[in-house]
Amino acid sequence: MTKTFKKRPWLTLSALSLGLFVLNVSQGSVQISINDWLGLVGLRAEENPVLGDIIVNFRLTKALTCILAGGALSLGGLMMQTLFRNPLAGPDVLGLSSGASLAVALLVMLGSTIPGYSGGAFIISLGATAGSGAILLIILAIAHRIKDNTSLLLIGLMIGATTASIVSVLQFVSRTEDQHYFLIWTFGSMGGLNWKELIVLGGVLSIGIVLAVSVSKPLNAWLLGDQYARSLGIQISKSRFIIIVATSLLAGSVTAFCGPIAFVGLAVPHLTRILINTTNHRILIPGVLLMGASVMLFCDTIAQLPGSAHVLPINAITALIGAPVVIWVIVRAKKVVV
Amino acid sequence: MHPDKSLLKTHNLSVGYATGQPLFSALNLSLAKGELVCFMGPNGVGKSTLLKTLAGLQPALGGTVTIDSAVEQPEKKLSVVLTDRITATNMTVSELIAYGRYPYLDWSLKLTPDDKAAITDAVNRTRIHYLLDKQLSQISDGQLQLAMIARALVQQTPLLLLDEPTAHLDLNNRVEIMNLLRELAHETGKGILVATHELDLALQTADLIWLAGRNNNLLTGIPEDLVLNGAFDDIFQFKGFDLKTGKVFHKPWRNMAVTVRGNGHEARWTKNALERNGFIISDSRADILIEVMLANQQVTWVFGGNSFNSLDKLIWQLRQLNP
Repeated sequence: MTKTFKKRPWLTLSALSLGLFVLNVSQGSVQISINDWLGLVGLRAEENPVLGDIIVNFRLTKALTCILAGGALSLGGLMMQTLFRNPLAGPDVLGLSSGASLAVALLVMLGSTIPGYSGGAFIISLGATAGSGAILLIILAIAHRIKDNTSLLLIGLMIGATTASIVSVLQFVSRTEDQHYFLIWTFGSMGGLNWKELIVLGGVLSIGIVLAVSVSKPLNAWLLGDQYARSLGIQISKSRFIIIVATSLLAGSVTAFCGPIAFVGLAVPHLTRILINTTNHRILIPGVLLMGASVMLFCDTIAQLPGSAHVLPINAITALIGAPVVIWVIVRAKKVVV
Repeated sequence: MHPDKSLLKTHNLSVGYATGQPLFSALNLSLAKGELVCFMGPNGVGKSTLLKTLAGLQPALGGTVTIDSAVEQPEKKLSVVLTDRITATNMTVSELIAYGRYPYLDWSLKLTPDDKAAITDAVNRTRIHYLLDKQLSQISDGQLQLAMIARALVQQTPLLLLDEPTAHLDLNNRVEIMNLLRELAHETGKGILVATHELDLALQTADLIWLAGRNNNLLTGIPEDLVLNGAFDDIFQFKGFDLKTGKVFHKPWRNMAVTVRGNGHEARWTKNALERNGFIISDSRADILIEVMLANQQVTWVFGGNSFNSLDKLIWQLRQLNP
């Protein structure tokens, strides 16, 4: 497997994503067999309208959400690891996910005290976007004054810790049912989006991906360190600004629509680098997008508990499946570099 | 030295960190085409800071640096080899070298035939073909320095600035790097500035020395002039090293004078061995006379009618004379 991967990484990665996509759509409380698939793509006469509805309006949106969310979080992780030249960085290090969490916690736990507030998934998404956006503005203001990336990383972690503790306080003082609702949100979900929301998410993520590709040269140069990057004519401040904005769009919008998804953004860049051995972001960016989509589809398929009607929280699965895989990969590769 | 060919000039340049005293002030320096300049001074004097200021990586406290070049972008005028470690050790040597083309590439990072030719030329000059597919974690420090120099050459800049390129290398690698830099300066006409504290190598390879002075200034001159006028002794405050003879000073504690008769390397190393062992070497005829004979590639030392086939045995015999 690993050998084929190294020889033909693109073919293998694409096949893997496609296979997992089909598997993901097939799995659920209603199984979809090969015969059904043939019917759906028009190769067989019989049609099953209920099945079509399930696939188009629930399974497809969920699988596409997995692809978008997995790819986006992984790309955000790749950019943060390169920017901070730190293998422990992920898209959440800038405090973006915790900003979103804080906004959602405020809405869920204090919203009931506002007269006329009715809640709802869309308001939650909007709040989460505003939360990560607010943190982004703070980070950018700090990044403007502090030129050292390691300091910025620490500040991001501190902002994350601060918001996390505010969330704890909110949970402590709020009603049990609100706590429960918030807890459900933190579990994460790939299945909550309709086509309209999916298009919005896809649109925002496209901007983030285009921005990321446009800074692939500065990202590469960053691996040599700030001084060398500048000696090669890279405009450090400008590209850092673009990298932060791109990561915020990617991580912030996914958190807004799917909840705070852990692990994927940190782990997928490492998996990708071990399988496609390069430091060139022109190759790494499509690599992490495909790998992130595959990992997310895989985790979501497992979360569906094949053969049963139960669904496990996606956030638990990403860490449960992912962490041992990453440990195994790192132990095999002996060490991890950015 | 040669104002007509000068590539880099500073005018009243003052260097240091905004919070402290300037490390250097009122510098009026010039670096000429095809010249290898070694910038020397004790550790901590601010060699890296001046180098980074000249490279435009750190703002000057005052004064100007001008580079005479037809191109606008600073990255096409000047390339650097710094002491910063590269953390991405899974990078291959060819990926590292290709970074040097970044000033010429657009966002797609596609290498044109021109770019590839520049890379081939740099690889030929540094003779590192055999390293191209290796990862940085798999090569030695000396090989990494050669790759970093190749990366800088690929940038095709008239000026090349290197910060301690021979630090942590063994003698053989140090000599290889310094010889390569001299060759590059003379063959490609680049102006090359090397910050180093490798005194012996710098004295033998540099065309010009910049020596960090005591009063935030720089002394410049060819190596031999600075040796003979005592500038080095003054700056480095040698403890037991005689720069003019190029040797460590030995105290003649045996109080025995020896005259060595012979020629060439054999006689010179015989004298070295005796001095290190505390004997006084006397040119006029002393009580003890040693003759160095060379026959059929074989060295023999004759003393007091006996002949010896190694210095070790000869010195053991001489020691027996000591009361």
